Amino acid sequence: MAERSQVWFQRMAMITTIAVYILIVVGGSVRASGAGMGCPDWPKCFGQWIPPTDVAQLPADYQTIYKDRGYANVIFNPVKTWTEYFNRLTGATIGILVFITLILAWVRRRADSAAFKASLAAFFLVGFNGWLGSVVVSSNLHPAMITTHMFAALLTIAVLIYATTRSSNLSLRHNLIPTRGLSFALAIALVLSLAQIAMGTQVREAVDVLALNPQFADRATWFAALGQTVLTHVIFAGVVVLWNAGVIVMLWRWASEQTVLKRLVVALAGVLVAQVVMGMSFALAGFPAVLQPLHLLGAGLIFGLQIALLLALRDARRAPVMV
Amino acid sequence: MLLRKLTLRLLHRALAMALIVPLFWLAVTGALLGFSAETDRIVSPELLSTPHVPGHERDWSDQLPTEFIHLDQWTGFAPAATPFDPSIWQDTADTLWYVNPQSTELRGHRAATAGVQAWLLRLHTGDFLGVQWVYRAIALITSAGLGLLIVSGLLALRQGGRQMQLPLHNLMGGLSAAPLLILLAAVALLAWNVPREALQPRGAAWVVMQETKPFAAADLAGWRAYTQTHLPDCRPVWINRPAQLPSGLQVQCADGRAWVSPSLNPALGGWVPMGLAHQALGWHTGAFLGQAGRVLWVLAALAVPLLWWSRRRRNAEIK
Repeated sequence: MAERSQVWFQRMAMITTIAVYILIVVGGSVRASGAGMGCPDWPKCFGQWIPPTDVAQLPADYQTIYKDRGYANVIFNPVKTWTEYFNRLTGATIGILVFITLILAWVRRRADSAAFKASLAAFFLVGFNGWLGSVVVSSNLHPAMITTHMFAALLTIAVLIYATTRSSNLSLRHNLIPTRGLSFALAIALVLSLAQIAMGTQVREAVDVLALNPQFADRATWFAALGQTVLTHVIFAGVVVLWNAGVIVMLWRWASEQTVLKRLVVALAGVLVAQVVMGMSFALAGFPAVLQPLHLLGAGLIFGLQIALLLALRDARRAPVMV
Repeated sequence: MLLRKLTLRLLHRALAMALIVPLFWLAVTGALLGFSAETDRIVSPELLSTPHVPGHERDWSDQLPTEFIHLDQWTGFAPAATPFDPSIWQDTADTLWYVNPQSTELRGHRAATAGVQAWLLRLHTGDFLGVQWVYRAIALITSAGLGLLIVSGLLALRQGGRQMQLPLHNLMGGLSAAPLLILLAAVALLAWNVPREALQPRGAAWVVMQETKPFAAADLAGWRAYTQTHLPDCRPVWINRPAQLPSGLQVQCADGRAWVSPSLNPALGGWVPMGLAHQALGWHTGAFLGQAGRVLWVLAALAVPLLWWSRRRRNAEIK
């Protein structure tokens, strides 16, 4: 029977993980809608804690002021400003959530020191990523900086999932010890997914450059213009999907009577299919902006689910066998 | 059989114990170096990025900050890679000047030996030490030892090591073996016959061009026109000063040629393909597989200290 403090910790760690995923969608939407420079300064937005809703609330020479600070072409757009502001609010909320998670982990640090260490690492990672957000703005939204910001978010997710599964013992009631081959196959799937995400970031960086070019104002021309960058991503997607399909079948057999694990496996299969459909839509439907953050969310979910399953396999190997 | 198994495990453990300090050093500095360009950008965002001004890109020669560098004093030029990047000029005093390619505004300058990337490179290659050959000898012995460590670990795993309760250690070791062996093979190539300059990020093209003669001088406008006409899918990465010998242009192309990162000699009108030794740096860093390769190589490097940690943790659990 789990202690009360353990249940609270698990819930809070889970909520924080979900909030980080929400932030990934919000952050992706900010980039897809071109709202990244909606707030040209940090942590304030146009010098205010609550941003303006109308250009009349800004100094008449605000463009000159921001040009002198190194930000050319700052044009106030209330929708973009508030989209970016919402992104920052979500980030701040995650800061509070991860702090509460850390306090709950501290309460039971003697019972589970690893969960406490993971929560502490997640706390620092969230802080680091918040600061990285400010550097992204300072760099005038340099595509490589956005990639670094995203990888730091994935690392935060990995640490939070470790903290959550550490204290949940997903497979303690298991009556079948997983084979080492299964763990190895899943670990390779995780490595392949990471490589695919890295290639995806290359596509996104190329898209960011294309979007600036008036010659490519029509999104339908993007896929062809991306050339080899996107082609490598597409071909490698085939490898990732095939490998994961094999792993999913093996995991399904292993997870036979475990509802939670079966749900995780089904979720992994579902997200994988959704990713393929979204990938095809980029090619066929002219790179719809709405799919960009969702595709990013899908990548993050696959990564998170694979880590959760890998940790469950490890726990199952260590747990006593039910006879 | 049992004796062989024990010998292998003994060798594996003895190597790990003997090499732990230099292995940690090389693995951690190498892993940090894997994304040092990005770290550099985080540390100096004002220097390494520019605000984009649409439709205002200047000609290459117009981007030279003549108030700071005389026309005859620049030695290298890196055109802006994307609209978010500055153009970089190197002068005879080995100072790098960062310029907005659209407005030609000077973003800043620093010594070629400054910055996170250069600093980490010094730590990883031992350039910070006065007696460099000692460091190089240790690094080479460590690399050879790591190769033996991997091979003995894999053989031990194959000969029944799976029965040992080291799931995390075996998993990480198995996954990182392939990239680490490629990385080590590249070390051997680099140590064999690659000049020191080729180890610098932009050095390989310079060395290749130096080895191939004759060269013809050309101005920047000529180089740009040649690139645009003959290589529409390629992006110039680095140009050595065309006014003096040797001069060269390193390009990165969107098609298969990107795999060999060739250099171009307009005088010959053809490619100067990079030899295996000159590609070794790409194999060592994982850059030959693009961003994905860099991520995998960094993970493999980080696996080295993690392998040691997982083994120690298991020892503690058994006790």
